[in-house]
Amino acid sequence: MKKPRLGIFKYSCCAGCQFQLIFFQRKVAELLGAVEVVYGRMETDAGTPEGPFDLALIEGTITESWQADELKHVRNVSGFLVPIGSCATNGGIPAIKNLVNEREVEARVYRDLSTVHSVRASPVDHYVRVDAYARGCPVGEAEVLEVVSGLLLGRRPDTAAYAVCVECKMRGNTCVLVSDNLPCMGPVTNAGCGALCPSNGRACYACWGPMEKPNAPALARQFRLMGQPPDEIARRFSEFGYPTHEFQPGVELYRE
Amino acid sequence: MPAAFPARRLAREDLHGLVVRWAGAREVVAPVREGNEVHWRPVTDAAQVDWDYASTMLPPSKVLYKPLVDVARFTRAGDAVATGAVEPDARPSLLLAVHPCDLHGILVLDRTVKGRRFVDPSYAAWRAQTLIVGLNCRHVGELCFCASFGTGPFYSRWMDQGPSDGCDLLLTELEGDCLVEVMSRPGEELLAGTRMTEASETDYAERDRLEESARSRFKKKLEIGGLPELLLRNLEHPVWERVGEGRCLSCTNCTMVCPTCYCYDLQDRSSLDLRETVRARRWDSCQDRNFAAVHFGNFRATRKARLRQFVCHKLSYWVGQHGCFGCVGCGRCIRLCPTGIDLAEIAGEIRRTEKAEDLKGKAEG
Repeated sequence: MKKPRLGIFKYSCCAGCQFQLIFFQRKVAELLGAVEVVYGRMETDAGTPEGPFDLALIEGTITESWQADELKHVRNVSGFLVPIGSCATNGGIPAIKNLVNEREVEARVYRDLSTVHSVRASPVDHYVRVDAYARGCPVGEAEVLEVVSGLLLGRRPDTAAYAVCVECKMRGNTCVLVSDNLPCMGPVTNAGCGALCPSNGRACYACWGPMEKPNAPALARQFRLMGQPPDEIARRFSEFGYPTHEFQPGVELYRE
Repeated sequence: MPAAFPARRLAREDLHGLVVRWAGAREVVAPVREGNEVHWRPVTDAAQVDWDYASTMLPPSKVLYKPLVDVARFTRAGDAVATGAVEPDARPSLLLAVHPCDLHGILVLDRTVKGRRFVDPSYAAWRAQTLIVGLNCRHVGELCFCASFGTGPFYSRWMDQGPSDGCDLLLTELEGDCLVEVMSRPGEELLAGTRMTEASETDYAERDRLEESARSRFKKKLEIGGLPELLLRNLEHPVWERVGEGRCLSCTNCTMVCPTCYCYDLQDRSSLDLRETVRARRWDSCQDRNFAAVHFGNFRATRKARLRQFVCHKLSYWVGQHGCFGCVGCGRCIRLCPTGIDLAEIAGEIRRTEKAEDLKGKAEG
């Protein structure tokens, strides 16, 4: 069987997801052995973004117009296209800037704004159709393996699509929200991390982004009843995934 | 009045000695306090056990019904695919200090995943390898309502179950000592060689007094007469929309901590060379948006519909499906709900408002 041609693309992010793919996973050798990396600036000197690719993995948020243009091209020349990590799947950390006027954000970083052409931060699926999501911050190893093996087998990848609470209960963790009165984002956050923070007695801060159709206002109101200050609640719902319609209602309730 | 089964009196320190002995022969799993919560954890010593617990987070039935179990393995060689079942990994175990509500939770789960029509091999194997020591409950919590179902606070024979189906030994804590009721032959063997005295009339009287005292402390009550029909008549009651959309998070905690919930999903995991796939059964929940997904999505797409499914399944549909309620009144789904959704309160509101609407109808008629 000919190895699938893989392209890895990086937009605005910390590059942690690519590091995760090629350095930190337990199955780096299997993953890279199962594919031919034809483009990826961290992985190979050769290759161009021209394609074609059987599978394109995209990390990072779209925050500049050239990125959107290239992304559309990559979509056209790729069999499967999968965003990896929170920045690409839900806007991630870079999308915090969406809380502020674009010009103000630019001025906070750069003195000469004439050469800055940034756009509102958006996840990959705001611009192109995606075939699956590999979530995480950084991207989860199990997510990547499931997405790659599922697509190669020709079945829809079965990644976690439920609340972090499911993983907490499966691990038998104490519920830090109910029992310890911590403002845990687990009930609205997509699982896949194995409930890492609650397993260590900490509240989930939604780094994997929102699950499908969470009830953000109900959790925000509950946080208020638990004594959380309004600005803290707005912050928790805007740290990750603020451009998504899932988390915006949680922010709007308590934003000054 | 004498207890239903012959009982003996056992000194506390002798019970503690027994726990150490049992732990030498099998894994003893008991309620253990960790911070603000109590969990079922392996113990080697009676001092690790929280004998005065009110409730645990997960029920003991889910110590037996494991969250993630490999069930099949597919191996590909060329064009051929070999299929093999994965044998359950059950070990000899003992569940210690299980309250009556949870003993009933196990009996209800038996009917579904160890019933006549379907047997979950992993659950059946763990169930067969696990002895159960019950503990009559003296710690009635704010959200407990087992007395409404007759599943507690003290254990008694239930429906068509034989006495030994629920537990092997049943403990009642008296002043200083324990009353031990032997429910099965393995239970008798657990006590072999232990110094005990026959229970006296005074002991039985003390047991009955303790039961009455526990019974008098319930704050929460659910009227179960005609409940299945009441809910069926009120599937469009405004409470579903108000609570479902206003407060339900779809986090699935209610079902995860329910002693009788058994729903599962199957997930396949394939190696990257695509040669081997392992299929596992994983806890699933009707509260999850993707639970009943078919072509075009979940037919219970709204939180209202999913909350109604949970409450009506436990308190109504279950009766037709399995011949008993799907609720034992342990109160976990209420306590572990981040927004405190209360199925007994929902049922109570429907009963109150239906009556009011009937009266209103009569007055107007």
